[in-house]
Amino acid sequence: METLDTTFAALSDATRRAILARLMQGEASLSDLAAPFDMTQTAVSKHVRVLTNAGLVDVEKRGRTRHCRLNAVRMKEATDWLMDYQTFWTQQLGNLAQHFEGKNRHA
Amino acid sequence: MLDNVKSQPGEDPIIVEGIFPASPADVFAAWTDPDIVKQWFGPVPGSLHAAEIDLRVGGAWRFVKSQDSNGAFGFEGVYLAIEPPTGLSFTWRQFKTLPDGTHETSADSQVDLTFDAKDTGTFLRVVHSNIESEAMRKGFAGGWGKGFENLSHLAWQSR
Repeated sequence: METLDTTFAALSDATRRAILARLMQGEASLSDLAAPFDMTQTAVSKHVRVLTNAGLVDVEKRGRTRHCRLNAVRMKEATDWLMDYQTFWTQQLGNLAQHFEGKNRHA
Repeated sequence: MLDNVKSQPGEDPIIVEGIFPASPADVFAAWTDPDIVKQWFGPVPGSLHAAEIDLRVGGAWRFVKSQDSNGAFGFEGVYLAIEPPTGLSFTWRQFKTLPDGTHETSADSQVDLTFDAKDTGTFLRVVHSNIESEAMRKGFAGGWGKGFENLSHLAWQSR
């Protein structure tokens, strides 16, 4: 079962984030994924396995080709946890300002 | 009105300040009355699933961002200092409760709020410190940029 540690470990690598960014655009075969990287398909395959173990990517074997797809639900869970607190607090204070400005208008 | 970000991205503590058109008591209440918290706190105002507040030193607070078949997500902590209407301090962590009841949390950090009367309003300072994990402090937005936003957007869309 996937834990947050597994997810964070999976996301901590630039190559794996690039793979996820590629899968954002849609399904891709393992060889398609390997193409932009200066590494063997075996090395890319290892990265994909880390992403699969974290539940972020689903792999389906069709014939001799393995197709990789983003697991969007799992990705959302991960993004719920990943945030820039600077942005977060700025947004919250924006909400609070809106709250009081709305109140004053109605008063 | 807003907002005066004092710290650089990735710095600890993070300091965010703003001036609000209400008395310090009203701004203090906006953080400590669960019914008011629910009106503004969250990704967009009015989106918070639940707010639970036990307003005493050592008392727990929990803001639930969402709760569905995938579990519950949000923020929680314990009050460290309560000085209405000028100050409020609490521990802060992210939590996730899985459908099987497993409760996972991030490391504890600390949030200190100060409320100062200024003209007819209130100057609020938020100091968020001891954010240990780089992932929590900066997210991956720094290194990932637009791709991360898109990914996040996509993940939301496909709900």
